[in-house]
Amino acid sequence: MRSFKAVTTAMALLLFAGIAHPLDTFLGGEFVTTGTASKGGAYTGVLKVTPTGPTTFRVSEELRYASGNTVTYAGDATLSGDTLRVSGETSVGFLGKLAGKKGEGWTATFKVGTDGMLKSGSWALAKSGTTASETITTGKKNAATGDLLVLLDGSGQPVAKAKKKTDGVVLAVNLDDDDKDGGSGADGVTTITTDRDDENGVSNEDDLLAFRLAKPANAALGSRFLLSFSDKLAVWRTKTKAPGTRIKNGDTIEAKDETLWLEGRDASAGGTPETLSVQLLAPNGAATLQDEGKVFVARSAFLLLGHGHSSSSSLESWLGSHKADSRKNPVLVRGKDEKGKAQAWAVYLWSTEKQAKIALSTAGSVIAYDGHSNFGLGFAFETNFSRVSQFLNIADAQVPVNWPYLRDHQDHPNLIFEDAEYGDDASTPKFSDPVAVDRWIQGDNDQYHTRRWPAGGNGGGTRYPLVRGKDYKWDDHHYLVDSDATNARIVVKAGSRDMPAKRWSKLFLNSCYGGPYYYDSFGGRGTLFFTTDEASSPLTSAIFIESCIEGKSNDQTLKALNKAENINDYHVFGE
Amino acid sequence: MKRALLLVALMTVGGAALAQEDGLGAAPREPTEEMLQHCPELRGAIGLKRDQLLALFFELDASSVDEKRVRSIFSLPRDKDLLEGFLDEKGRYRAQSGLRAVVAGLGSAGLAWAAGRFENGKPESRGRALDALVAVKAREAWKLLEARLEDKRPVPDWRAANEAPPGYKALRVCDHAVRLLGSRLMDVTTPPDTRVGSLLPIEDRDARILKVKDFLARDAAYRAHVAKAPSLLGELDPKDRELLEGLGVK
Repeated sequence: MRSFKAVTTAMALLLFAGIAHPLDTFLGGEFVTTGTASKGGAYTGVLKVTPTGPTTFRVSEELRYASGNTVTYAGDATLSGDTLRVSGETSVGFLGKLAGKKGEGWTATFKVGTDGMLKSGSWALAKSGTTASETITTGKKNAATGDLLVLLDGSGQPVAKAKKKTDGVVLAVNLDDDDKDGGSGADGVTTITTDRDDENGVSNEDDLLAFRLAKPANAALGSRFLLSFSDKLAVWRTKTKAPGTRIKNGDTIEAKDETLWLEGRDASAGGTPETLSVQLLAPNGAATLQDEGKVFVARSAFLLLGHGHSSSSSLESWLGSHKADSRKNPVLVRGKDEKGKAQAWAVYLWSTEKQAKIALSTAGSVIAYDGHSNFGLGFAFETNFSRVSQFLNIADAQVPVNWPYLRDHQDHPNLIFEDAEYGDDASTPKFSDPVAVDRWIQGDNDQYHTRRWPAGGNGGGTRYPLVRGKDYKWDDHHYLVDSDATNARIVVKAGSRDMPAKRWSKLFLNSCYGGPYYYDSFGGRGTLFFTTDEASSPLTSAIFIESCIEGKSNDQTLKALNKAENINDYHVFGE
Repeated sequence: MKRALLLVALMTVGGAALAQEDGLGAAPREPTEEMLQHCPELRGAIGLKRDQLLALFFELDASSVDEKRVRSIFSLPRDKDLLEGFLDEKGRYRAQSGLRAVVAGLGSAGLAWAAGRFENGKPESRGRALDALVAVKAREAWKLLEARLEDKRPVPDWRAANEAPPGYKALRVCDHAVRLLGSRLMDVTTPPDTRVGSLLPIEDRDARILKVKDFLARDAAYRAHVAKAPSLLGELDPKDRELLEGLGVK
């Protein structure tokens, strides 16, 4: 009776002190070994043991001999009592595998201590007869799993335990500018400091995702949480990223019930979500419990709605039935990448010049621009422009535009080009005598003829002198279309001072004659989808975005586009 | 009873408000500013007119035609002026997707209307009238488009002419027809290139159309598909049958 009381008292004390119970289950870990092999001599090794079931594990050991040789063994193991038995083979390396080589059979046995640490081991190779014995000098065992982490989805609902490590949560990269202090995106300003890189706090920040830490009821006084996560995530104590409230990877914090905030920094690779892990550390620093959840940081998809766009309702309708939760702009969707791997997507419906610059400079993004082409002068996200610089200037050096049409039919009634903005061949002294040269743009299966107007001339091409209008400046022109006096074109200086760093992955120019007008502006980067004629369909921007989210190939995407309106093509430029 | 009615009313209003606030999913019944930009006619529209405009611009899906819905809000000849207005209007073909769904959903009446507008409407609307047949599964739609590959009449397009880069020449009926056949053939067979554009020289367009005609004459998958396609001829009025025969649909 007295001894029973003593044992239970001791156990209670041990629990209170946060020291591992002597009957803890072996959970694997990473251990440093030293040993001597019958062939090869002394070595040190790193032994990794990863649970695959209640009593099964995957084991690998990398040995480094005194001679400098390294060798890796790997196999599957089963725990029986205090003995871990492994059966596997030596590694033949990637090239060896390609060559169809097989490793040499490897068997090993390790002894497990009651404290959950490996103590000693021995192994043998089947073919060479090599044997070895080793001791485990140091190591870090895996802690027991506990409910330390509550992931919350975008609707604020806890993710079910069973789904925490599989479906996890989805999170957008924090690439907008909620507090509007990242720059105006005005004419010529191509760099915007997004909220991700804002170090002064972000009022109105709405892109962080809450999660909760839960301290176990029986955790020892002085316990702490250790948070681990990749650099594609950031963790904050405050929703507004207040300075001084960031918790870095590897930081320990007081163990208590608390709500923290996840921020997406960079998109996860397809099929490879980030792991947010939490360990409960005893006052002596030993990990006693661990928990983790998956976070899919989304790639970004943008529908840029310029003036004259054909409506976003088709995409909105699709997003309504595919959204992961209640978040809006971006809407979070679970989809695939180009290789068919699980990929979260954040879909933005944006409509300003500043937002367009952010979109174009977002790494790996897919973008559909839907709106007027404006004759290749640039995109317009507003109306009533009075000068060229108000367009999103992402154009060739000089472009021919229908000036009266822009004024009378595309809502820029006060648009004026000064003489200094008229197109010219700078190599001649004559005022405003631009030269047109033929240009062929390349699609997947076809080439399309268009013309370009180099600023410096090139000794060839067709020259067009300026003809002044009789009554109005906007009747000045360089040529008439089909000799029609009501359908004139004037070449004006355009340029690309608003083009940000080009980082998109796929871009669809869904505007009339998008390819002929903008192929060179946007070419050279990623995959460019473009229209080759007058465009009307209200569906094709949505089809493009949906196809990207569904991981469709370029050919599948093109087919879907041309089913709706048979005027599209694409070209792969690569990175 | 009164309380129950009040509760239902409150739930209906609340539901509509939620749908509007969400902005995703089915088109909100109260038009947003963006919707009004695309369809200014919606402003102040009530009753059937509003239902028709919402359906045409924001709800109907030509890739999966809801015949019951189409027939519940559209009928011909009652709505011919409304529909014809969208064929004729200058500027972007705003109701392209919705008109395709309406024509397909109205069956023989839709087919007859589109064919009639093609032949008897303004030259500028020929291309759109053919386009409206894209979702019609009937054999006659295939035959009409195939027959129009011979039709070199111009389809003037004021918008395209004013917006196009150098090299523009207006599309012809045959150009529209080959392009539309290309869209329809995507799920049937693999034809030669059917993309014919207004910047492609006429002789190059003719060469592509010739290749497509030869292909259609020989391709077993296409011929079998058309042979199996349902026919609407039996439902047409004699004058509409005569019109289609005149257009090469036999």
